[in-house]
Amino acid sequence: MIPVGTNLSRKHFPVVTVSLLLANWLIYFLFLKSDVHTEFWVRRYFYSTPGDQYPWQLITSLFFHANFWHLLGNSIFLWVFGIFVEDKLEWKAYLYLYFLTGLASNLIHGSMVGIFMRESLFIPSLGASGAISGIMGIYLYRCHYSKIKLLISIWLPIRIQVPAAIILILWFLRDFIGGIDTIRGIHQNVAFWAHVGGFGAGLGTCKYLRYEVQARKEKLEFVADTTLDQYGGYEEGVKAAETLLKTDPDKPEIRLKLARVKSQFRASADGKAHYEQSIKLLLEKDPKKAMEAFIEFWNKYFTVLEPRYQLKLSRLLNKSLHFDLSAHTLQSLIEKDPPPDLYLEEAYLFLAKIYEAQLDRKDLARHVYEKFLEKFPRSRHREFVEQMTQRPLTE
Amino acid sequence: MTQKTVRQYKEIITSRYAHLFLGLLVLYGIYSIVTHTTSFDKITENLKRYCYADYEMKMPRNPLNIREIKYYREKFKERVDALTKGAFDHDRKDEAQSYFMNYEFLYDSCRENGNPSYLLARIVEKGVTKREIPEEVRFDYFILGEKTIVPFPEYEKGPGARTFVSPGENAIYLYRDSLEPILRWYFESLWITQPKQSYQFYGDALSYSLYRDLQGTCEAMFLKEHPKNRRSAEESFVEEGFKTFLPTMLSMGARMAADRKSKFPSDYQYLRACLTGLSLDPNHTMFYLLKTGTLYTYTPMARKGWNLFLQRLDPTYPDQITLQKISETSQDILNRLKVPP
Repeated sequence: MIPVGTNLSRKHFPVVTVSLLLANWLIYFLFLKSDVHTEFWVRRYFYSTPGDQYPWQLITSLFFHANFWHLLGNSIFLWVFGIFVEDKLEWKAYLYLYFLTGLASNLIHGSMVGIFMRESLFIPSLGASGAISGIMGIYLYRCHYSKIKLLISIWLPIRIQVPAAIILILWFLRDFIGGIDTIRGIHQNVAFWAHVGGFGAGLGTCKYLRYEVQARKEKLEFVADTTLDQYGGYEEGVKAAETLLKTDPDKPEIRLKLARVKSQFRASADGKAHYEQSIKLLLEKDPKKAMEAFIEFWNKYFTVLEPRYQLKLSRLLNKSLHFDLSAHTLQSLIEKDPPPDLYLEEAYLFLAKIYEAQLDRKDLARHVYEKFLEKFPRSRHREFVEQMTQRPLTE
Repeated sequence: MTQKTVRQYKEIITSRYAHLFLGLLVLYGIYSIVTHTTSFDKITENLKRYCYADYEMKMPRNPLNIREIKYYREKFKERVDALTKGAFDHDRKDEAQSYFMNYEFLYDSCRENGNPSYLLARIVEKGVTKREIPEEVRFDYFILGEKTIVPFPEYEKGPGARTFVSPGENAIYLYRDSLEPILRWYFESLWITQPKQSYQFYGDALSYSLYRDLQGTCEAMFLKEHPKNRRSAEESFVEEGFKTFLPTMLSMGARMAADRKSKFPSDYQYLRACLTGLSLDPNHTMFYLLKTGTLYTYTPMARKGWNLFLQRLDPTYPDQITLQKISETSQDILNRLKVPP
């Protein structure tokens, strides 16, 4: 069975994973047709030979592969698991842990050989599988809730989804048993202890770096993200989203989804509050999305946000040629009569401008100016507004 | 500025990522200790690679492969020379022998029919013995453990090849590893099955032969003593087992020592040694192994002798084979063989 993907989604392009894959393939093709002198040189100085080791071989051996299939297999595993681990960890930590677990895998493999299989001390090992096992260990720790998409075989292109925890634990057990067999003297052409070591190093590293907190949050986010969009069976998602928002309230997308679910059948105070929060957060991160969310919110609740946010939203609506809606929302804000502040002043003036310039309703604009003068008698814009009110309507 | 630098250093030192790196350094320390190899190990390894590359040169290969192997052989030779600088000159056999002897290893090299052959094995025991075959022969012998470098004939024939004795320049070599794996296999099967009755000691022909030779050892260990520690029990079983077969091997060695000055071909010498051993100190196991093993003989006399040996005493009816019959048959074949010109 070949892993071909997972049910997770990525936020960033996996720069490091792609670079590592390119480096591996480049080195493979570079030395593919090498003569016997180069081959000897590479074996002697770049493969990892525990009994006759140069320290740099612990790193260089991660970039060399025995043949095309060895490299292809490793590339598939690195792609499937690496891109998501990179997405979760950010590239610097990912690159650091790739090399850390790769080094640890080579050291653990060498140590096991040194303790139990001394006759193999001079057999060189090569390949990125130790580092990739480390990445798989990190994946298990961080993304244990996900599912792995497996292709049954190349000849039987049927895809199944299996929980990541099951498949990765089975994979680890297979390697562990393989490792025990090598200790018992059953010859294997695979450095199983490098896999076991890398995987263990990956898990141990996650534990030491306290990744369980992020893992828990990511799980809640994943559950909320995948189940809140469903028509039914979203209770688990609601629960997950509420738990997540308690500790991490700055999640506008989750909040928005939760707001939609809570407002699905009828308006609710909870739904309204989540809409308001998510729109406020989105205004900073993604104004366009904030505007779309506000339109949804407006259609359901016919109400506006505090002047500070509403002014921004109405301006966005205006910019997107939603002149009517922009005016309606500002009108609604004025009618709501919140405590006066600079934003409210701006809202009056902006509404008047829309009436005048875009909707060609000078009468309404004058009405707004008049109300402005009543509301803000000491405004610094008073002089300008008075001028506007004194203009003849037919001008 | 200084405070900022100090704060940065503090951040690095207290970072968990830095701690992981320190952990890696500790692991590297452990790794360096457990994978430490002595110069002897390195010399042995490179010598082995050199010798095997030398063997490969003699095996049928395509010309491209030969060039590659030749290059590798030269490289390993360079490495051996570099490693042995000051310790011994590898091209001088006596120097190499005395170097390995210091580590209780026997090194030997020779050329047979134009083929290079090397031997490196741990010395289990060395001594001098006197045997009557029926003429009295006194010879030096080495009992050798597992071979680090196997001689060319064994390398050429592959993993199934098994030799009990071979003649060295000054002594006879008795190979313990021709029997030890079989004894360990038999012990393991007994340890797993834990026999309670005598019929449970055997299943196939080989284990039956082993049981007949080692009946006392087997029954004492598994029916009376019931040892708890597997490792020590296995070692004692192998030791006792090997002692049982040693007289046969010594008789074989005696014949080889007696034939040393003859101009018999090596495979014929080996046949004579085996027949002498089985006629003077017969046992079922070595008889069975010689009967069922693959034969690699090239000279007509040796082929004739082995054919006679294979025709007599059918091993499919082991109950009909007694030590006396093995002895008589071996002696008879030995007598019937003509002395080659």
